[in-house]
Amino acid sequence: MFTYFVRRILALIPTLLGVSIAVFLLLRLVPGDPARMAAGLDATEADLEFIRRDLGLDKSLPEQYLTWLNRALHGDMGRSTRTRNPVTYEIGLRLPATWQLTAVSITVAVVIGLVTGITAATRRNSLLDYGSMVAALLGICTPSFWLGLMLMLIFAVQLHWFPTSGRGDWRHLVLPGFTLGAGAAAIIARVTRSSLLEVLNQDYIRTAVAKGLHERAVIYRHALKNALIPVVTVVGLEFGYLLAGAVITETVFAYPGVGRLLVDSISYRDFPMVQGILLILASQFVLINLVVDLLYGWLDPRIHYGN
Amino acid sequence: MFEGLVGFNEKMEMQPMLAERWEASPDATTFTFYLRKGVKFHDGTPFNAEAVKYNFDRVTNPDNKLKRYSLYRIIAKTEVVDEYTVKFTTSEPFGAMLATFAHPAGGIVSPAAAKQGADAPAFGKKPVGTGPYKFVEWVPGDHLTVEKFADYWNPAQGAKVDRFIIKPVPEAGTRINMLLAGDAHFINTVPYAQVKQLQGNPNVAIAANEAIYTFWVAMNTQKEPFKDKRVRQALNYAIDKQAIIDSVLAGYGKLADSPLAPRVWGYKSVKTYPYDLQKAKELLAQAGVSNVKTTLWSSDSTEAKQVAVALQGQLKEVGFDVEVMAMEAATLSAERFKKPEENKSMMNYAGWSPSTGDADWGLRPLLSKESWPPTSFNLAFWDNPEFDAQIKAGLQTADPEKRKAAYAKAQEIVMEEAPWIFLWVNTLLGGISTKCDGMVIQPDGIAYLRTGYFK
Amino acid sequence: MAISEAVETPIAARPRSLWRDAWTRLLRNRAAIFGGIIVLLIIAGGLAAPFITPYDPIKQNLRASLQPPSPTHLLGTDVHGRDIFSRILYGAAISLRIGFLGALLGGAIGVVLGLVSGFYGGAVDMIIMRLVDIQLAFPGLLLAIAIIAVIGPGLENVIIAVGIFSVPTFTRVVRGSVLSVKQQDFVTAARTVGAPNHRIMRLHLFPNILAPVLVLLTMRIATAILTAASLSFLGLGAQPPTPEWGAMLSDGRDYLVLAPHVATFPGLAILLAVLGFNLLGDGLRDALDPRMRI
Repeated sequence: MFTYFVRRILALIPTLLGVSIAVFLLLRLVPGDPARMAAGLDATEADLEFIRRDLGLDKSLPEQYLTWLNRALHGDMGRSTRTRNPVTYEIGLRLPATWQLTAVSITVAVVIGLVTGITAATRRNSLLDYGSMVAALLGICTPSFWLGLMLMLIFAVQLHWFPTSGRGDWRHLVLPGFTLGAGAAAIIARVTRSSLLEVLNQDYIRTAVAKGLHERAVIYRHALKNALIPVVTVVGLEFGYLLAGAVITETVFAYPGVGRLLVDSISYRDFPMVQGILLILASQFVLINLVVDLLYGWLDPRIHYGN
Repeated sequence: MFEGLVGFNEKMEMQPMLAERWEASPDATTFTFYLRKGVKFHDGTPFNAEAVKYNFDRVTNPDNKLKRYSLYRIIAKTEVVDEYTVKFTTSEPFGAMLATFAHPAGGIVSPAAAKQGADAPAFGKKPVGTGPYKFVEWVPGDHLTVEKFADYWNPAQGAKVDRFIIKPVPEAGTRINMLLAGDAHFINTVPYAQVKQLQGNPNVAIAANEAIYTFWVAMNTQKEPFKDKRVRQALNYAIDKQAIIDSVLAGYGKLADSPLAPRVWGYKSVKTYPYDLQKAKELLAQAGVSNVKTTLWSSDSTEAKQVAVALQGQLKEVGFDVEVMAMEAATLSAERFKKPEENKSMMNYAGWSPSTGDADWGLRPLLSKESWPPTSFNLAFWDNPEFDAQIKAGLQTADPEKRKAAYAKAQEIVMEEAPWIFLWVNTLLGGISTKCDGMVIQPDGIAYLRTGYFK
Repeated sequence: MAISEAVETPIAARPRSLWRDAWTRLLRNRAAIFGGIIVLLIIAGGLAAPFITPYDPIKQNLRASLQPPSPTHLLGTDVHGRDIFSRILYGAAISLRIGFLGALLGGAIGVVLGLVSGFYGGAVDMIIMRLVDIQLAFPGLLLAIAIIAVIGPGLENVIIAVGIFSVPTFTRVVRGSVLSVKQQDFVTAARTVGAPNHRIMRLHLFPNILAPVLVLLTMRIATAILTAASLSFLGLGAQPPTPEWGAMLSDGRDYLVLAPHVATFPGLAILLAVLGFNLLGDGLRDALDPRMRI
């Protein structure tokens, strides 16, 4: 178990290096001049040269990358070309906000998703089943900007239950949490349903029911735990996406999270910031995957981490 | 928070701020400012000629890597004449100098605070100026808070509310919802598409203010078919600008009758090209141009795309098959600022507001030969020596009348030669709660909050 | 694990009856039939658009801007006064093209990578899987922005971006299937008699992974349509005045309250398409192998 853990952690290193190289190269392939974006439309060519030298953009690509890597390993990710603040400071401001929002929305997603999925599976082919699966599909393809603005109109503008936007106490998290969680809830519901149906069809469950165990007890005591493995995979994936992909929700609710910062930094060609954010997002993503893999072992003792 | 030696009011008119009066030498090379007495910075240090010298020495020193270096580079030296008099000497005649001091970047910061913060990381720096509101805190991406400065030099114009909290809200629909829900008292800006949502609501009002933006389509005058003046004029006749204003801008614009907006200093009303398809077709026939395939670049903002698509539809009527390329901002500026040999721009939809409010900055970066990309924003690659001569004349003197005459001539040449399709001057829309008043969007697009108050 | 159980039955021996059985099961599935009808209707609408639409989809009439639905304009007009009904029908062909070609492109690359990765294992497998990890760890949005920024916006490039988007999913699924099929007797047998690798992959592995690939393909069409729509939403998709659904939806975002029809109808069109392909995909999965994990 421990060696497995260490091996997995070590395996993260090439992935993260790969991500950082890919980001680095992509940023340089994308058209757009960071110096121009930093200096504005009316800057002169001399100003631009000056900024380029300041950012180290005049050096060769490998040289730039190694300089960045070396500094990053020492905890210095450089300074934003937009605000001139250290990258680590700016990211540090947003990460807690993103974590909070992600926690709320993943909770929303898991609760709604599991309840819907289990209901649908236990009442297979009923109207309730069809209804909840259509609702789940609606959830998957409702654009979050639309959902967000509508929730805001109803619950903030009309009813005044929640604030429209921004960050503050728990009330600020309700609307964006639901907006963000809706899509993931739909996906979790679908997976829960199909996975539970599969387990319910297996012999040992049939045996249990035949033995006279109460159906509800069977579902919760036996079937659910086994059905959870694919659900955990999906929750893990969604968790990773939510941490990175809340851009639209953050924009709609003017929520100061990492996603917005990333997109703003990309459009501003704020190279140090983009590199820093992506490295952190990628680390989160692979760490969550690791946690998911460890959870498998708890859910299904047959899985061993030996090989 | 900051004030300059001179500044603009909400109509973009120049006003004395930290300087009570000023003089310029006739050749527009030396500028003397007589400073206001008894002004204090937020940190309590006095404002004087030394402070002014410190500020401009700082910005003109390239080692400080300040953003507005290029704007003030022309200042060769700054001298302290006495405690409340300061004299600037420019390296060459620059008639538009006064307006440059009024630019938002001309705000004076406290030397004591700036020296202290020089080595500290930027986020530890507290901006310290002389304005009616002082800095409290800034959380990037979340909010900026300023509060009333008790020792403001001009109590009559001082702060009328205790504090402002300014939040960046990128989504327009959200801003409107915030205003409607009472979570915000003022919003900048309201898109034309959504302005009707505010009309008729008793709790909010529209704060409209005419901008100093002009919008236009630059045609690459170095390439066919735009080398021919008749083609360029024909396209001016081919566009039904009023129809676009009425639909896309919800009526909040007026036809541009000069390359400059009326509120820019030096503006002259010249003429408009009326919508006249017949005339457009005649001119194109004379020039022997038909069935043109070309491209139109625009930004990818909703409004810009809507305008570009409308232009595309109308140009089709005169045989121009236009491909709209709506590009993301950084890509667009990278394409636009390519050297002339590599630059692929044909038609460019853009808008410009001279941040100094002066005719020089509204014409020179856009139309003079020296401003061809990559140097500046002459997207028409227009090259007209007569026009360049007028622009130069406008800078050779500080005499307002002489300058105005030169710019009037320059504007006439532009309208006649039509390097652009002239579109409109827009009106900027903010939204304000009926509980307060006094806040508006300045003609250059910046929110003008200092006069805000609760009714 | 589930997949290996499923293919334990010697399907390679009797492929015809497998597909025929699946077909019968599919026809008995009401939801799948419903999805299939939606898909057929959309395809028909897209093909027939030039013959049945009342207006030119790009012809503007600024004086008739933002009109609500009426007998003249069934679904109203947008800000440029264009008929939304006509634009949606024309858009069907465009969105379907993006969906089909995008999913096919991603599928083709993913199948090859998955086959190679699963079959050879070892270093090749490790490299391919690390690349997949890297792409998965990369926020999709940046990838899309980057791809579009490098190759430029436009319909073809959207298809490429959407395709690249789908590669990791296909790779993983195919690799998983290959790993389970590889251990089976008929593959071992083929190997013992000295069949060359490419022959084993083509004749023995590929037919056995066809079912999951087909299901995934159907569902990925829906994802591709959605991805293209969000690209358009970010201004990176089809260039104006192309009546792509996502672009139309994003045109309507500023009119959500004042003229909700501008965003609602393209939104509904996307929703129907996604619903149709998903129901069909679900049905296919249930018919081919209910235990398939997709």
